Amino acid sequence: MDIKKDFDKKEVLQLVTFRLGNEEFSLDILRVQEIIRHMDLTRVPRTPEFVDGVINLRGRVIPVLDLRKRFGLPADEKTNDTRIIVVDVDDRTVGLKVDAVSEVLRLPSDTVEPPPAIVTGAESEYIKGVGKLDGRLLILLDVAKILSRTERDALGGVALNAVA
Amino acid sequence: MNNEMDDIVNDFISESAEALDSLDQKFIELEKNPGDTTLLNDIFRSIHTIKGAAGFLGFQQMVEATHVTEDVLNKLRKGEMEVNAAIMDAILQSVDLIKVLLNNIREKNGREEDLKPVIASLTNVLNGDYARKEEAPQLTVISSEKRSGNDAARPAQAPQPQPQSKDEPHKEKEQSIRVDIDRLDSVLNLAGELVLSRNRLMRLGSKLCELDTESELLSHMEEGIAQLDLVTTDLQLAVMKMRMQPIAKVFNKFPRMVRDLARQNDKEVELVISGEETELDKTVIEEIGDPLVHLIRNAVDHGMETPDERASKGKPRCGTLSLSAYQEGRHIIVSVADDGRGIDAAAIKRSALEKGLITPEDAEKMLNKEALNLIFIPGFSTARKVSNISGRGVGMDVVKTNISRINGIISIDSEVGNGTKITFRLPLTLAIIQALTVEAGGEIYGIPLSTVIENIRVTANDLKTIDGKEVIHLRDRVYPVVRLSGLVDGNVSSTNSEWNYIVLIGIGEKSFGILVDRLHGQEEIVMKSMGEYLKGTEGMAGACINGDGNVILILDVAGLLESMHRVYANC
Repeated sequence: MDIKKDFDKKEVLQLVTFRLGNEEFSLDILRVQEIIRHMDLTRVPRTPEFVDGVINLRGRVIPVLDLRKRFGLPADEKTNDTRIIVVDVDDRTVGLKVDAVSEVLRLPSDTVEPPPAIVTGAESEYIKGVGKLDGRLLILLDVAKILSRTERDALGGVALNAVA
Repeated sequence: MNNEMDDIVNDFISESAEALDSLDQKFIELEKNPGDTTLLNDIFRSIHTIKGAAGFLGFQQMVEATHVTEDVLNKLRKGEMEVNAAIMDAILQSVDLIKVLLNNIREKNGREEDLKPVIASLTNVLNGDYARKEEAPQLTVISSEKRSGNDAARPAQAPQPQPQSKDEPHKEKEQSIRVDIDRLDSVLNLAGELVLSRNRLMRLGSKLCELDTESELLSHMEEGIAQLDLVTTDLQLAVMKMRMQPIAKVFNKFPRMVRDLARQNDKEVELVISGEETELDKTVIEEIGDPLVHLIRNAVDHGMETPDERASKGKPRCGTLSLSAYQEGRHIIVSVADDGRGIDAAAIKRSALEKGLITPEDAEKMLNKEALNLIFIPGFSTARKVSNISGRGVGMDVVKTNISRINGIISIDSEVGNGTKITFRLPLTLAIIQALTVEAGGEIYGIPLSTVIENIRVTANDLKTIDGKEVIHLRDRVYPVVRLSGLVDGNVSSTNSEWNYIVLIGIGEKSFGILVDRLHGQEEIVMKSMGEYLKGTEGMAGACINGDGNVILILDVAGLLESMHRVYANC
């Protein structure tokens, strides 16, 4: 979804919010296919570190990315709350491992602001905007950006240079 | 409306392409039996059908090209002209042009081809001018006949018209429908899912049996599962068969190619094809076309001697090139053999030395059989000059790459003076494969069984190192070894047990060993892609789901070998 469009109209965004460490993130609900509990993974050699492995989702093999590692946060033990959010972008189905999924909420699009310019680093690029709701700050993620292959290859750095 | 039109055009394209493919074959036959009117009529009909459809659809250039060709064929058919090599060349040229036109239509590029030269040469033929225009080649034909007295490809010497071909059962209607390949693939996928569910049920069933052997319900369930097992296996086979195509699809274009090549090189070559009815998976068929083209070019260009050279060596003037295919267990063996001059291993070594591809010590140690494999190195060519057919040293690299990609094994046998035989050993199908499951570093991997030569149990002492690379010495040969557990980062190689296993792999023309912790067994697996995101991960061909619902990664042995070479090169 285009950012411009999000901001122009007075529409209401439906978001799935989840937790990584102390921060709250959110995804457009239309991108989310389902949310599953954490399951055993098969690790895949020679992939970037944040690729946790692959799982069997009802007969389909899909990769799972650890969002903590993806955003450079310290790794954490998996808990009872750990979830995998299965997202579907451009025919690409990928699981995103998060600490916990909190809720689904509605947010008027005019309360969303572009990310503050001061925030830099790998993380900022994937931020579509920051939403305010009752004093809480919600980070809206751009899923397509996280999943793009060029991104993956660039970040894969050492491991993937070998492929090229 | 537009869609309907597209459908009609697509049908036209695929039907015409099919007709044109079979035409090449028929023309070659016709050249051998110039008086065969059944064949002529057959050819005439094909061209006529294409012309009719093209006219209806408004492809003007196509109509023009087919029209003149048809005129010539008509004259031949009515016996007003005799088939000869010059006429054949003109007709074959026009068929090539029609193919180009068809391709333009397919790509909707709206390109116009220059029809004039082809039409002109056909009109010449029509007016009976061909004799004058083609005088020079005609003369050489006659003179070479005088010298040789045995030239099957030339009309004057060709066997007399054989009436036998008249009663060929060509008339029967084919009972088939066209199905989009995507639909077939999805059926195959579903069949694969069913196999997985069956495996799972079977596992659960046997577990239940352990708990309770008395219940009647249980025995009924066992029966049901056994039945399911049977049906799934049959279904799987049936679906696989749907994707199978006779290798004739590839072989058919070679008679024409060999004819043209031989004519260009002033050589006499007879192509003997056997086993063209052997069936292979569509993907495999698509991959072996190019390698075979290169091998046949090499055979005609480098392998075959000129007729005079052959005669002086006491061989028949006409060389034999044989192309054969047959099934051997779960493999298909395809081979190209010629009775030409053979490959001189010593010359290969010398050439490789000159180019700095091997060191003198290497050359010293190298067996002749190993030296032959040097021809697969990109850029390697012993040909003294580059012709437009071959000699650039790219061809054999293509052969190796394509065959490796489909998990095939290549072997070369050659004897100086007696000819060369190159054999491919290919898997029957790629979708459902037999895999050897192994354990390394706590993970389970599958290795396509078609690439496994043997498994060996070794201790740490059996592994030697040369220049810091691990190798294994086995029956007078040294194989490089790659540690599978080392692939996953941060994995301490967990060799607690005394024994390890080496899986010896053959891929393309090379072999190497993979060191694993344990062997698990053999399993029938359905290959799945790991999705767009992880596609192309080095060394991994894909994944599959085993009976427990866990994901197992399938090794891409060709990729693994490549990365191993890179590591060595960096050392």
